[in-house]
Amino acid sequence: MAAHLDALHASLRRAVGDSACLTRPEELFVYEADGLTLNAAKPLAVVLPRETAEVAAVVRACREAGVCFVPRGAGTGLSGGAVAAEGGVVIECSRMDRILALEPGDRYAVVQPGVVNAELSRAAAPHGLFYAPDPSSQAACTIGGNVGENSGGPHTLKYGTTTDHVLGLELVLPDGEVVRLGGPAGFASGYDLVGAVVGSEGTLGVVTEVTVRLTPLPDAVETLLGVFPEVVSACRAVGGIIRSGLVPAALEIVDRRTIEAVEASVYAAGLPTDAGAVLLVELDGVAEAVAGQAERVRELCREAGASRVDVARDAEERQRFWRARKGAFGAMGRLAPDLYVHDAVVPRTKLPEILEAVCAICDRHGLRLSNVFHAGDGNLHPNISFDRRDPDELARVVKAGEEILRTCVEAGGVISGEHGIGTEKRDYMGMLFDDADLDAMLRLRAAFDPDRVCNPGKIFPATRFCMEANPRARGYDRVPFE
Amino acid sequence: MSLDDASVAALRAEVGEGALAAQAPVELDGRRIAWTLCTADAAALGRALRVLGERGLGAVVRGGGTRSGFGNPPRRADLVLSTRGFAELHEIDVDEGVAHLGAGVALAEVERALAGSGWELPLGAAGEDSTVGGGLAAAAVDPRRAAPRSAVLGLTVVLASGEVTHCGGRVVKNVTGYDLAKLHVGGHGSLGVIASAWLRLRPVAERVESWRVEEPSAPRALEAARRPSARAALFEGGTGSPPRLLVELAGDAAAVAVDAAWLRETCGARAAGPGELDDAFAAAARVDPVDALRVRIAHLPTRLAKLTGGIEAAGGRWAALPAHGLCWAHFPLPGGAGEARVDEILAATRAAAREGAGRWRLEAAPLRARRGRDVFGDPDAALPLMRALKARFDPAAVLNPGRFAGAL
Amino acid sequence: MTPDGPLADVYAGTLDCVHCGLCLSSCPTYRETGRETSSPRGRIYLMRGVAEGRIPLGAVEEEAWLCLGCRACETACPSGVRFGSLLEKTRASVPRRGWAGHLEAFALRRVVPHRRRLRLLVGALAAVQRLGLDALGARLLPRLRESQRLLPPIPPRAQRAPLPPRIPAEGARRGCVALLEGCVMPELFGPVNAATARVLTRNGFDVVVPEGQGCCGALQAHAGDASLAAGLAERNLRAFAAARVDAVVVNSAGCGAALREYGDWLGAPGAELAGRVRDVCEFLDEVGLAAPPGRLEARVCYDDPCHLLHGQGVGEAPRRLLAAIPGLELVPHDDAAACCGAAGTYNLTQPEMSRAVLARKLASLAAAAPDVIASGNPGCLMQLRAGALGAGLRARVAHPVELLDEAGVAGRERP
Repeated sequence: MAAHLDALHASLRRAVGDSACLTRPEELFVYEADGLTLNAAKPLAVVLPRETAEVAAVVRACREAGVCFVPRGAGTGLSGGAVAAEGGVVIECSRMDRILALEPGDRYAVVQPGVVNAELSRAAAPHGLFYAPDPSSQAACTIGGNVGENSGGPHTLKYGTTTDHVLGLELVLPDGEVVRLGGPAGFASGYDLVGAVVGSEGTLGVVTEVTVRLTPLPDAVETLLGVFPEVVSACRAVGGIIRSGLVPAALEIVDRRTIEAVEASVYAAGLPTDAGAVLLVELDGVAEAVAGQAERVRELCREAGASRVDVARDAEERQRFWRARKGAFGAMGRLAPDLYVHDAVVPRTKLPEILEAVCAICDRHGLRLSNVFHAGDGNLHPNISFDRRDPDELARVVKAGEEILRTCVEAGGVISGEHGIGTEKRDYMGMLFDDADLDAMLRLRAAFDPDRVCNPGKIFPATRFCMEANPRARGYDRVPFE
Repeated sequence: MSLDDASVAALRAEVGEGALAAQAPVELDGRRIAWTLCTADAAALGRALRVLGERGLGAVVRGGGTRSGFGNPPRRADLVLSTRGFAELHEIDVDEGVAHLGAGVALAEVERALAGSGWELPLGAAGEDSTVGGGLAAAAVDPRRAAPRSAVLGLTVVLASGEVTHCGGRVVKNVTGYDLAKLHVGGHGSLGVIASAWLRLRPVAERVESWRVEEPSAPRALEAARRPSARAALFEGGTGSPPRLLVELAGDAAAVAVDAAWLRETCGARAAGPGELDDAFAAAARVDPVDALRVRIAHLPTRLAKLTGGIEAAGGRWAALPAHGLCWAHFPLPGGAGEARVDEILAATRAAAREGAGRWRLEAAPLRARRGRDVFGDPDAALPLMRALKARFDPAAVLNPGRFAGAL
Repeated sequence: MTPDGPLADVYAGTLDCVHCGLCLSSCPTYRETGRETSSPRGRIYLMRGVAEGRIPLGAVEEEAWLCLGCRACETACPSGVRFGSLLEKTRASVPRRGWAGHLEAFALRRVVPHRRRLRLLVGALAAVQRLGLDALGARLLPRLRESQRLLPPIPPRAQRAPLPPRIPAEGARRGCVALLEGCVMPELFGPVNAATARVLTRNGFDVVVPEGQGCCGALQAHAGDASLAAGLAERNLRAFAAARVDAVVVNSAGCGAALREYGDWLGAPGAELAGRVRDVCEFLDEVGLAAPPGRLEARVCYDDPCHLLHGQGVGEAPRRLLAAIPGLELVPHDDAAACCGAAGTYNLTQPEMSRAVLARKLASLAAAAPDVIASGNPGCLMQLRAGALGAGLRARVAHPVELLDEAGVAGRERP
C-alpha cells in the first residue's frame, strides 16, 4: 500500500509540480472536512492545479493508480461534498482563480472554477453588472463550488439559482478527456448537459471553466425590515407577499435567537433584539416602481402583525442588514462549539406550521434551535447549536435532523434547497425518491462516470452499492480523550 | 413498419383494449402511422414501453402534434405514443403560484383555468392543441417565455425501462439529487415520456403595453429589448419593408410608464396592437413552411447585425429576440429548388452562426431537405456523452428513435 | 473532556470556529497559496487537532510561522474567533528554530527593549549606510539583502532625539494627551513622532511624553514570548499610570493594538490603560480638527495597517482626516485592507511569502497611481517604501500625520 501510495504521489507531482501536491499528514488532516465537520475523511493527497491540462493529468494519474478523486472549491459547502468520503485525491481548485473573459455587451463572463463568487460581482460592477446567485458564503465560496451544488442565496427568489446563470462549462471527464458543454450564446442543441452537471455535486467530472450570465444591476433598491412579535406572523407576511404577485429580490426571516447572536458579533446591524423575528424584504427595479412596491409590502407586513416596518436609509444601512444576514451562520458559533445548519424546502404557504413543528422537534430533543432562512423560497435553515464532543447530544442532533427532514417531506417539501446532499443526507434520499427514481439518476451518473471514480460516496445512499459505510465517516465519534 | 397482431395483443394486454387504437392514423415525415397508444395510466404506459423494447419496436411520442415538424426523420415508427391521456389538471395552487399538470393537458386549457387567478403559464403554445408535455419536451421558446427550463419544478417521467420515475418536486428551490428534469426538457421525448409536471407560475403583470419602433439599428433594438420592463421584443427584417421592432412592456404601471416614455422619446416608438407581436412571431417561427426552410440561430446579442446581413444576402428574412440572442431565418425553397440551394442556405446559416458564436438548427423544412442532414445542426462536441445518455436511458431505442440530435 | 496536552491553552478558543470558511478570502497566505492548511480555518483546525491529541504538536509549527498574524481573519469572522491570541499562544509552544529564531530572540530580548542599545545599533547602522557598506555587505552576503532593502535611510541624529517630556498646546487648549514614543519609532521615524506632536499641539492638546516608557511588547508577543511582553507592558503601565491625560495616543498601529491588549496581559490595571488608548488618527477624528489644514495637492492612497484595521477596528478615521485636506485626492485601491507583508519581523523571516504578499499590494497601488502612499505603522512604512522603490512607483510613502502636519504648515504659511 505504501509503495502504491508513493507511486501515486510521484505521478501527481509530475502532473502539477511539487509545490502543488500536498501529501504530508498534517496537510491531509485539514482537508478531512469542509463546511460540514461531521463526516470527516482524509484524502490520500491534495493537488492544486492551475490549468485544465493539469486537472486532466491528475485525473489520468488517479485512473492509472485506481483511486477516486474529489473536486473542491473553498470548502464552504455544508453537506460534505468536498470531502474525500472514500479516500482518493482532492483536486483543490483555489489556484484556478482567473477571470478569463468579461463581456459587458453580451453580459457574460468566463471564469476558472476557483474564482470567488463575490470577486466576480466586484469585477462586473464597473460595467453595471453583477453575478446574481449570492450564497451567504459568497465572500469566500467559489464559482466552481457553486456549480457543483447549484448554490442559491437570498436573491434567488427573483433571480434564480446557479443553474439559471450558467451558460457553458468545460469539464474534465472521469476518463481524463476534456469536453465543452454549452457556450455563451446558450440554447445548445441536444440535451441540456450544462443543466445536468450544475448541481451534480462534482460527481460527473471536474469543472475547469464556467461561462456565466451577468445580470444588470438594478436602478434602485429598497430594503425593508419588518419587525414581528413571533416568527409565525413573519411567515404569514411572506405568504401574503407571494400571493400578491410581488416578486421581491429577497424575503428573509431571522428569528430572535439568531438576532441575538448576530448582534453580539462583528456583523451587528442594530436589529431589534426584543423582536420575535424580523423579515428582511428587498425590492429592486426601476425607482418609480420600487417605491410603490415598498408601500404595498409595508401594508402586507402590518396586516400580518408587524409591529414596525423600517426602511434602510441608505446603501450603507442596507449593506449592514445584509452583512448581518449573511454572517448569521458564523455568528452562531457564539452559541456553542458546533452548529448544524439544516437545509430543507417546503411550500411557502406551509411555513408557519412547519416552523412550529420544527421547534417542537428540537424542544423534544432538548436542543437549541435558531432559524434564519430564505422564506420567499420556502427554504428553511433550522440551525442547531451543539457540542460534538458530547456523543449523546450529537446523537440527538442527528435524530432531530432526520425528523425535521421527514416533517418537511410530508408537507410536500424536499430535503435540500441549496446545500446539496453530499455525505450528509445521502441516506435520507429514500424519503423522497424510490429505487426507480434513484436508478434514473444513476443512469445519468453512468453516462458520465461509469466506474464511479468521481467524488464517490455522495448523493446516493451508501446501501445502494452494497458496500459498507465508510469506516472513516463520522470520525468525531472517535475523538480521543472523551 | 407497423404493428403485427402479436405486438398489438401484447400491448393491449398491458394497457387495455381501448388504449391502443388504429382509428386516427398520423402522418409524419412521409410515413403513415396507423396505431396510437393513449392511456391515462403511467404504469400501464411503462409496461407498454417494456413490451416495445422487448419486441424491438420504435414509437413516436406525441402531444398535440403542433411541433412534430421539428426533428430528424424517425428510424422506426411502429406506433404513436400519445400523451393526451395524461389529461388531468392535478392541482393549481394559487397561494403558492405553482401548478401540477398532466402532460397531455392543452396549454390553452390551463390558461383558461388560470384566468382571474393572478397567475399565468410560463410556457408558450404553438397552437390550440399544444400540450404541457410537448412544450417541455420541445423546450418551446416564445418571445415572452424563453426559458422553459427554469419553469419546471418537478416531473413524472415514464422511462423506456417501464419505470415511472419522479425528479424534482413541487417546491420552488431544490437541489435534492440530480436535476434530471433538465435532460427531459428539450429532450424531445428521447429519454422518457413526461407524464406530468410541476410548474412555477408567473404573476400576471399589472400593466401590459405594446409598442412598435420603425427602422431601429440593431444596437438600439437590443437596448430597447433590455429595458427592465420589456417582457418581449421581436426585431424583424429582410421582409421587403424596413426592419421594425415590436416591444411588449409588462409589469408595474410605474415601471412600464418609464420604459414607454423611453421608447417614445429615444426610439420614436408608436403604440402597436396587442396581437402584432404574436402574429409576427407566428409568421417567423411557428408556421411550418412547405416551400421554405426555416433555421434558428442562437447568437451573442451584440452580433445580431453581423448575422442578418448574411441571411438577407442569401435571400432570407429574419426575426430575432434581441435580448435572448435568438434569430429565426426564413428562406423560400420553391418546389424546383434542388439540393444545391439547400446547401447554399445551410452554408449561409453556418456562417451566420459562426458570426454569432452560437449554434444553429433547422427548425422546419420539407422532408427532402432534412434527409441525410441533422436538423439539430453541426455535431456537438458533447455528442458522445449524449449517445451514452441515450444508451443508458433507452438502450433498445424505443423512444423517438433517430429523431434527436446526432440521429439518436 | 478538557485536554491537558500541548496547546491546551488554545483549545477553548478554537471551539469558537464553526468552520464556515468566511475567513479564507481575507487571508493573505491563503490567497497566495490556495492551501486550506495556510488559511485561518486550516490553522485553527491544526491547533484544535493538536489540542485534541489527534496530530502531533509539530504539525502546527510551520503554519504558526507562515501566518502573518495580520488578523484580517478576525475582521471577517462572524464567530468572533480571537485568532491573534490563538496564534501567539501557539507560537509560544513551537518556538522558531534556526539562525533566524536565535537572531530574532536576541534582538527582541536584548536590543529592542533597551533604548540605549537600540540607539547604539541604529547609530552604527546609520554609519554603515553613510559609508555605503550596507550595499557592499548585501552583495557579499545574500542573506543580508532583504534587511538592507527594507531599512529606510536612517534620519540624521538630530531627528532621532527624544521628544521633550511636555509640549504645550498652541492656541486654545482643548485637553492633554500622553504620547507613546515607541522603541523603533524615535530611532527610524523620529520625524513622524515630531509631526504627531506638532499636529496634536496645533489642535489644542498638551502632549506629555512620560519618562520610563519603552517598547510595548508587541513584537515579543507576536513571537510567542508572552512573559517578556508582559514585563515590558508592566513598565509602560507604570510610566503611563501617573499621567493624568484624556488619552494615550499612539502613532504606531502595531503598538496601539498591543496596548489595547494589556487587559489580557496584565488584568484590570492593564485594561484601564487599554481603555484610554487611541490611535492618533482615531483620536483626531473623534475630537475633530481645530486647525483647518492648508492645501496639499496630492493623490493619496491610504493603506490600512493590519493592526489598525483588524487589530483596532480603525479604518474610516484616517481616510476622513486625509479627505478633509483641501487639494488632497483620496484614491481608493483594491488591496488596501490586505497585509503588506511586513508583519513585524516577517519580511525578514519569511522573505518569499512576504514578497508575494507585497506584490499583490504593489500591483493594486500601481493601478491607482498615487503621489503618496499613507500608512500609520513603522513596519508597513518600511515595507511599502522598499516595495514602491523596487517596483519603480514614483509615490513617496508617509504616515498620515505627516501629511496632516505638512498641510497644517501650509495652512499656517498662507497669509
